[in-house]
Amino acid sequence: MTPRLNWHPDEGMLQTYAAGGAGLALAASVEAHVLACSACRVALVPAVEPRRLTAVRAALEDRLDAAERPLSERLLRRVGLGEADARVLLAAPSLRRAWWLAVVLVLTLAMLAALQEPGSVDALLILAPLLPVIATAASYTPRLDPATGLTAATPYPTMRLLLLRSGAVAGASTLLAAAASALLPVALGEALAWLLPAAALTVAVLALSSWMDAGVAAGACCAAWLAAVWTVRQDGLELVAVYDAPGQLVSATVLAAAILVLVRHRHRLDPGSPV
Amino acid sequence: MTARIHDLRKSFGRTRALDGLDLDLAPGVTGLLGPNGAGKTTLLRILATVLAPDGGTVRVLGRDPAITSERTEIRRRLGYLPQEVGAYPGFSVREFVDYIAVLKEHTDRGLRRREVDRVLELVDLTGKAYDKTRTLSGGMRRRLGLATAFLGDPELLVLDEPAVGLDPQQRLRFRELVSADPGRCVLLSTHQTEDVAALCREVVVVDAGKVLFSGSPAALAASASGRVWRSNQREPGADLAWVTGDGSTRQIGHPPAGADLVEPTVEDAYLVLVGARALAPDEPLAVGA
Repeated sequence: MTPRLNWHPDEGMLQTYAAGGAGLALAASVEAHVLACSACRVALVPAVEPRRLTAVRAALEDRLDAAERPLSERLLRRVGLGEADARVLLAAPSLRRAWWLAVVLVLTLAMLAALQEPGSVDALLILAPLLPVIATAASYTPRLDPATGLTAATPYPTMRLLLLRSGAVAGASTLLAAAASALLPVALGEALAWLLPAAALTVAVLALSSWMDAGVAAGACCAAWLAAVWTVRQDGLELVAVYDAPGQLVSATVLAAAILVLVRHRHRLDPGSPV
Repeated sequence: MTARIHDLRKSFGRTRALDGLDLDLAPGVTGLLGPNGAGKTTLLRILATVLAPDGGTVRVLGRDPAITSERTEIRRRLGYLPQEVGAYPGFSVREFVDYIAVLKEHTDRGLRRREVDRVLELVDLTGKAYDKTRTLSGGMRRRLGLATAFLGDPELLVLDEPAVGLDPQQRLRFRELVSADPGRCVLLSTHQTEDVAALCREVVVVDAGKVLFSGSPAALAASASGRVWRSNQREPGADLAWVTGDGSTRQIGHPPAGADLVEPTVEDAYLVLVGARALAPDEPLAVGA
């Protein structure tokens, strides 16, 4: 039923309202009226400045946009990341449910193995440095990133894309592995001694990716790590010996060398760059 | 010229995908024809700056893609549709196009929103804007890739088999879309000779990494003049022959004296140039070729 209208805003009122100069009470009153009165809606149209209409629409779209954005993106923006960087991170597998589930599953199995045989933390210590390595390769190898063909032709810097995505997945995997390690029945320092080797292996994957596919690079780094573990075992030492001072020194050297190679040959990570 | 290529070479292992290819691209639509493994995709990837050549010179939009800063500048002015369009399955259509727009430096959110709306409208995907990309059919996925290629109204469009999976109505819409701006340079690879005849100002036929023909579709068709005829049955001079809808046999090759010659089409001329290889089943290809 159409409501009975006892009054109509005059031209001056409509113009004030259209210009955004009406007070709250008048604006609410005019707004309620024009919603119900088609004649006043028609009268209002010429009073509205197209520029103001565009601005109102843009502001409305921004509000809608913000509401549409997922919680994870809003959190990343809140910690200071730019919009482009936040979007790049959100496209990384680390923020996909399946990826998180896989990492948690692997760590749970390693923890269960450690708890089954009290004192034995071998499974977790072997596995922990490999998780960020595999995660890094998976975050940008063309075989696992479905959108590589499209993103490679954009002007977004390749190195930044790789570092953001691999940083996200390696960081997420490392955090989970560190949390699992902290629960082990050994001293915290011992439980987290794999962090430096993990960092060295992860940066080595990035550095080697300038010459080979990221998956092959990760395979090579994992093989090197397993060979080191096997050598320690062959010498009749406990696995934790790989994390002793000499082992950490080797890791630090590998890390420094990998950073140097990565910086010097970063241009090779761009598939369009001549080699 | 929008792009100039001279003596372009690219190998994948022991397979030579491009072997001294020369090509000049001017504004307008240029069609790239060739059998599987001819080097079309390799050429398009090099032009799109996502693959570096082994040798030769390439200038795109007046810049050298071998130099990092110039490569970035080319990417700002380029739209590229790769052969395989992959999208993150958890993203909606709108989110994915918006993501590519962000990477293409569309930093103003309001303008980007309108640009995303514009390209989705161009490819008729507005109604699917909030559907997850994993729910799209092959044709819709192709259109999604096209939408990202049109972001920013680029000066150069490099499209690898853009019409695959499109229904007839969408193909007409696609033709309208790529030909709308005569000042834009569009290079598209295709196996559809009718698209070339209907759409392209220039056509380039490549095989074994070399250019076999470059010119207008009419000139390509004319190059097969006197090589196409029809009769009641296959004749010894025919390299290729097939029975048409009216029951006669259309033949391509070396017609006998007094043969009933017919006006060749672009497809006939392409078959004359490329021969039986055009009809051969897929053979082992170079990676990315």
